[in-house]
Amino acid sequence: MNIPILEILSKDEVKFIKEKALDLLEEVGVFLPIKSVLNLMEDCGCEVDYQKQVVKISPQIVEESIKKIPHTITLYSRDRKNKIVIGGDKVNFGTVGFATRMINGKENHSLTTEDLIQLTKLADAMENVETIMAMGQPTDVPQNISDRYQWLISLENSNKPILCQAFGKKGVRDAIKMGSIIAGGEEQLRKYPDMCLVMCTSSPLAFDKEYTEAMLEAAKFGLPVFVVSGPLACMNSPATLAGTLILTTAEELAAVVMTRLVNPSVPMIYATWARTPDLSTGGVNFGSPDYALMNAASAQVARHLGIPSASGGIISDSKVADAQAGYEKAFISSILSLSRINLICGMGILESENAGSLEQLIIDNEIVSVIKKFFKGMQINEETAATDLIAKVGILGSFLEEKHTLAFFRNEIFASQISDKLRLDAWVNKGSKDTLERAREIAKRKIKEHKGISLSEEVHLKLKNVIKTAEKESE
Amino acid sequence: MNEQKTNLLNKLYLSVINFDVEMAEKVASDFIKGGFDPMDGIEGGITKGLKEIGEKFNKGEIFLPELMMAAGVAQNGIKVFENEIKRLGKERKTKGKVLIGTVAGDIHSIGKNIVATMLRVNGFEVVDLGVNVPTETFVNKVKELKPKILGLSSLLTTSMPFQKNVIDLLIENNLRKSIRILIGGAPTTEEWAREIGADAYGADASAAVVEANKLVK
Repeated sequence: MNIPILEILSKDEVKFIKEKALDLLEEVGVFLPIKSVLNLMEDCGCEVDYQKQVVKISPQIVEESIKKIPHTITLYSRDRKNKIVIGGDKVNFGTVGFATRMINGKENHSLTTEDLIQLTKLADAMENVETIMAMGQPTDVPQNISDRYQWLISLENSNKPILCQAFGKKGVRDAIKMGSIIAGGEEQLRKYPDMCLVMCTSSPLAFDKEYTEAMLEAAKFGLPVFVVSGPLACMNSPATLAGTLILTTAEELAAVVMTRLVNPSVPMIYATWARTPDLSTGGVNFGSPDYALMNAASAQVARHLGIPSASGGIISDSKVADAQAGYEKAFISSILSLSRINLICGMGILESENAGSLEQLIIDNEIVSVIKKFFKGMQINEETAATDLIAKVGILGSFLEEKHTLAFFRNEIFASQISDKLRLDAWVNKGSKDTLERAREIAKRKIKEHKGISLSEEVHLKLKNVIKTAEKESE
Repeated sequence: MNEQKTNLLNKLYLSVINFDVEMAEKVASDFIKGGFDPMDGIEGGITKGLKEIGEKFNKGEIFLPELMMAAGVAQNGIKVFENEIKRLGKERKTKGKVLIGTVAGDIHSIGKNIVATMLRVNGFEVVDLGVNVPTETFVNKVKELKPKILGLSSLLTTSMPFQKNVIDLLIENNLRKSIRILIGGAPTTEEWAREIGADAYGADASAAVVEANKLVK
């Protein structure tokens, strides 16, 4: 048995979405304030308005570009002992990171480098975290180079592939420098990438100069790029889910074209964060069935185009690791897993991606365990049917002491790491601890027990120097 | 009150409630032609509609898209009256003038626009300087327009420092004491507002209105 792929759009609807996105690129185009790139696009046949800095892209050019995109991306662990493949029907899970605050229970404070270190270490310890998008933006460092610190802390405190933003060309160069120091040279980094550059479009239909320069610099080097398009319905995209989905598709396709110009075969992830607003404040409402709908549909569109996809599937607007966080994250991640978004991000995040939480990371790890076990499905065969055994044990018999039970139970039966399954009195006797308290205790223990990677003193020094140089240059 | 005046005021109120911008502009024009005080037109007609919209919004009976529509209609109606008020050599009384803009290096406008609208709905006069506003421009406009409140919006951690720059430049130009500063935007916090010497922080647009009301007391 296989868990089928959840496809919520019909084949015609997928075509319709794609065609409308192509229409937008052909008729409206995108804003791209980088003259050299506009030149490149004009050279390959696009219509450029240099005054408005808008480029219109024909469907032909988009289709040619789509053909060049790698269907899968392989990212390595820092020690190269493990790798993950992103793409096709696979679903992987990871963290996401634009947090500027840290939440512990109901307490919150501005996120510090120490908080980021703790979050990264715990993410490294969690067996279900496959990629680490730098889990926050530390507020206790010079803000104009906070990206360097994000890269540094993530690379130093984990063994897992790192996804992170960078500020402009310089930011990317510094990130590549750090990655190469650890990898043993730029060629090694290219060959065994354990880094991926994150950039965000500005909806509707705009590419910000700094983020785009970073994306193209990374692409030129050969680093995979993670392109986030996250229009907010009613605000910078139509109030309709379809319109918002189409806008996301158009922006992603524009990025496909741009990145092919500098490196025809560089991997790109179609990272869809299409969202709806809280209608009272205009702020984002991630934990909504609308997020699930649009991004499940996006998974289908991306798969149809042959581009690996990602989305913030484990997501919630709650400010505490509470019931709201639980139900929002569980629902959306389930739908997006079934829809086969290739990289589902969001582990360890609260407040709509603005706050990091150690407790929530433990809980999210459990949510992913549940999903993974579900996806294992059921083994249906003579052995698992066990009718011979049932006959042998007989009517009203017991199975607990059977060899078959011993042989099968570990694989067949899910064991929760953090959910409490005791009877009420037993639970009371153990201290009546709720999920938050249990998660907190587990987080403390896991961080203490975790043996992370250890880089040499020499490497640490070289990495520090990259930061020192960046600080000097930014003054 | 004059029956015709009452009638027109009621139409003005309805035009806001029903998001009818053509009606608002026409009735405002008729009101002026009728020789009635434009200030009354604003207070007795348009503001009455806005108050009701505001209450419904606070109760959660209507939402942002409706609020923005109504506010847009109200603005257009008020413009007609304001032209007449200026022509008569007078000035409209409001809760106060607010200057608002997104700081340098930042092109985000939605949050700022929502705040501007909500402030207008709540009786403030708002001058919106737009996005990516150079620090010097903020200071020059403060000098020129003498607002009661300066609102600074930032949606990027990299543009946040410009909120501090504006405050510092105001201090340098001896303008800081003449104005109250309200900051906001996704990455900003209470803590940040205190750190840079702002007078208030708005966690969202509704909070910004609460703070603005406090600042003009």
